[in-house]
Amino acid sequence: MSNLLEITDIHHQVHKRFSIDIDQLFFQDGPVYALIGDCGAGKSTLLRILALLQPVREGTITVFGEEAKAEKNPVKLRRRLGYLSQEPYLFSGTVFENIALGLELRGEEAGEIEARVDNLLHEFQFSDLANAPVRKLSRGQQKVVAFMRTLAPHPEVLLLDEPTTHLDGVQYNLFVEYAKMLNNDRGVTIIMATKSKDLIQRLVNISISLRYGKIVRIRTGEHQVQSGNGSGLRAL
Amino acid sequence: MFLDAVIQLFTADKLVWLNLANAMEVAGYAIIIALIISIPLGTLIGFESFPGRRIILALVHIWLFIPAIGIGASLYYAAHQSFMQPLGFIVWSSLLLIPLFTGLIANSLIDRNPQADEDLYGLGATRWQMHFAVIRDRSATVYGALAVGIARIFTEIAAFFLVISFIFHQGFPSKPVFDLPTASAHLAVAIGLFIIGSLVYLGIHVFQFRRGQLS
Repeated sequence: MSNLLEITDIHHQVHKRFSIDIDQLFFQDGPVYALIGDCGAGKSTLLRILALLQPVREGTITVFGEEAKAEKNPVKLRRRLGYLSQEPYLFSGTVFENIALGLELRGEEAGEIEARVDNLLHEFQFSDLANAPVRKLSRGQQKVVAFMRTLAPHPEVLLLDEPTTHLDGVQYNLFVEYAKMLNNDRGVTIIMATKSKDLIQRLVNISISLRYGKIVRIRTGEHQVQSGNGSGLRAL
Repeated sequence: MFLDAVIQLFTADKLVWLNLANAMEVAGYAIIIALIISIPLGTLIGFESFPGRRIILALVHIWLFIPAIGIGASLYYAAHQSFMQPLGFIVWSSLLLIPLFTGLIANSLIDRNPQADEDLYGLGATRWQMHFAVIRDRSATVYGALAVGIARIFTEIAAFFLVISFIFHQGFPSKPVFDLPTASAHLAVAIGLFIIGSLVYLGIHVFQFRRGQLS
């Protein structure tokens, strides 16, 4: 398996009393990873660093074998990733327009955009809501729309921050099944921050525990593969 | 008194309409010139961080809440400079409008949800695409703010033309404002009040910045 994402010697000061400090961490092609830990452990920050949305002054981030430079806007690399924030922002307009946004930004043709968005709407049983104003939807429905928006450009790696927040039971199960299908059938690597034990049990192959911005343990399934204080971890 | 004014407005003679037409013409040109400069400037301040941004924003905020007497005084000054009529008056009005529009545009962009920027970058947007998408998303707020600004300047310029004409001729407008004589004593008082008012606003804004109430 090849390394899709790699971070080396990262030190990112979030505020005076909290920083992300990781010597080395690899994410390989294939598994579903979970970043776990208490609130404020650094899961979301690490995810944003991996999504190239949080520039770091110290350390190196390598994405698909290419080093992402902090001073440049790494649009090309970002376009191969799919990032879903914890509380995603939906833009004024319809469900269709929101899902199409990432494709429009990439300059895809109208026919291709329509086909991909219609397909997603069908898969998530949202076809009836295609022309609904997105701000009239429930928070759970909005989260599903944001997930579809992330999926539409066919990213190679999905970075999901608490993806099941606000979802009801049906939406939750649909998410789990769809994520499994993406991982197993389409080979999409998934890295997600989550506190849901059920989600970890049903979906995750490798879980990375964070505390105070440091990696404290890495487990694969029920088996712990590495542990330490975040230094010298050459995991996964 | 008010009823008389309304009746006179609707039964106005040619000079009233001439003053109004002057006001609309001056305001119209001034708005176009100001928008051409304010839209990119407001967008820059709304999106980017650069040295001096806070100071510019503070000055723009002062202008947003500028006392009406300040606008009136500067318009009055402009109207009574022989070299400023009428092109100079338009330019002067534009200069008054640029900070107003810039502030309104910048504020409506600064107030956006910061998650929008991150989600757009996460979706693969370039910096320009992010700016465009946010402006499109905030268009109702931006247009609303501009409409308020445009209404304000039309009102102030029109009021200025009519009131000044009224004051100096002790009756409802009988002469276009460009022909009115100068009253330097009144101008000095007006400018003095304008400076005091501006200093008060500057003090409030510095205080708010320090308390973190303004971005």
